[in-house]
Amino acid sequence: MSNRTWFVTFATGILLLALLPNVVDGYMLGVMRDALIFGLFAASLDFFWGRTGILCFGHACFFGLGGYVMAIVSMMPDLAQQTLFGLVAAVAASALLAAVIGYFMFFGGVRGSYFTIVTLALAVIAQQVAVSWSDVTGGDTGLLGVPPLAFGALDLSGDIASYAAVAVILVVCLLGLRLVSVGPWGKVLTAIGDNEMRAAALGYNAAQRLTLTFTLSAAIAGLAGALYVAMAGLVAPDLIGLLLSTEVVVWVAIGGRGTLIGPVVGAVLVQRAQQEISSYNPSLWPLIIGCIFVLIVFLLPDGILSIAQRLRGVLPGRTR
Amino acid sequence: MLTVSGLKSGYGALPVLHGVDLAISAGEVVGLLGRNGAGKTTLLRTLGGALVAQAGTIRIDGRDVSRSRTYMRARAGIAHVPQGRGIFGRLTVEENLEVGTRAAGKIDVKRLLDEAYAHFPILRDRRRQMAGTFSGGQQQMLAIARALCGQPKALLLDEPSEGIQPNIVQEIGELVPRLARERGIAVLLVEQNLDLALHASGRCIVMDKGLIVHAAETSAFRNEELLAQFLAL
Repeated sequence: MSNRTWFVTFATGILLLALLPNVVDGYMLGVMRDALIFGLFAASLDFFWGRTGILCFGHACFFGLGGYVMAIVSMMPDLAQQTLFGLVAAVAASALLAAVIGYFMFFGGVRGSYFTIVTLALAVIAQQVAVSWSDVTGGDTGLLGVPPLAFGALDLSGDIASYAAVAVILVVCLLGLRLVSVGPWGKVLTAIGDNEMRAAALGYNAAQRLTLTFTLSAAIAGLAGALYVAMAGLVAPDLIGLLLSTEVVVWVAIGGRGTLIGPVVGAVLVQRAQQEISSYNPSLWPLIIGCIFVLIVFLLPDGILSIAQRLRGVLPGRTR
Repeated sequence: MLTVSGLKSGYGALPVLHGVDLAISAGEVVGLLGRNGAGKTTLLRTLGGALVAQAGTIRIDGRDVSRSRTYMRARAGIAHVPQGRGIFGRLTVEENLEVGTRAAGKIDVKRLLDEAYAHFPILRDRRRQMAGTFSGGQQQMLAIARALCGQPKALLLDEPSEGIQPNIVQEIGELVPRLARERGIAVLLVEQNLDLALHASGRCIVMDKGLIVHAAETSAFRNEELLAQFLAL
């Protein structure tokens, strides 16, 4: 996606986000807010997967860890600035976990489908730990009563305030990730994704770059997890497991890998569709999302954001 | 500039190089000849760091890089242009060159790019084009230009004529010795195209079964008997 197209899409997205509170009620605003948080989570996966071509199939580990750490820290009774410390701790914990995993995997030469399989196993382990370590995590029930976002006197628990906070964080993160993606760092990542051996032969410490990128990606996933938990008021094992790890891969693939905005759109659309369809018939949803995924992979491998580009190509009078 | 002694290497338990000794001075182009399977590409891959040396030393400008990782060898001054070129297809021509400047350290990227464009004007004309859409010959030029952007001390070229139209092969044959001379680069040129190898190199060495079996000035290789003996031509 060219820079111009990306920024036009981005600006349109900001406009839609700004207009949304005027056209929907408080409940729907809350639904959209949660969908946007998952959109941020999807963008974090896309930042790594889209640039390097290496798929992490356990990204919910970092989302869930951020959520659990946020819940534990912000529920400490005598802590001032619970939200701030909770967010910082959540981001740091997810980043640290990714740095450790990334270090051993990337410096150990684990790549491609092997990385995917190992991270898939990590998601299973993480969920098992979340269920079994009930003294800390609350077991199957999880932790209830997580306080909403508040920075001193600034209370962000209202519908519009929490929506606005999430929207601003999403916009800032997307912009930051885009700038990194198209800057020198992103070009080197693309080069590593294309041919890692060649990138190393040009003087790049590929393992170090992959580890740092994976860490940044996980930090943002942790931030998304922390935000979600603060908004929902609870954290449970389904936020750290394999199912969510799979869903986020589907959101990115449907939205358009490597675009950052596409995964946000994918996450929002899929979740809205899931809620609508499940309200009619809960058992129908897995079938439908499976079919959509297969269709997208075959018909729109670059995701739904590529529809506009394809249309431009076939419209009469347009050269591209 | 590039000195190799007693180099042994291979693929897992399969030894390929059995003790290679080699020295190339700054500004010199050495042609590396040999039949298929002689170990030419393995030697280049071992020098570049893609394969681990099992024994022996590799020195670049006096610095021992035998145990260094690939990226450290690149920063030390070894540039390897492999068979198949290895250009980054998802980046533009200019981005490929920018990425290639890392080994040169923190210096003026624009100047390096301008120098590369001076040698390969077609790359300047197509600098915004995605490198993956280039033809084989253009990709080879880009791969050499990208290697030059790292300001290497030693340039390892693995069959640059492979799958390339004759006029570009000729262009490369004239460019390589000029680059070596002007920039003081030690060039090791692996080539099956004997005309190119003899045209570009000042000295040639022949490998067979993982060893260097003959070395002589290029003029000596214009002898049919010698070619028949070492290359079965």
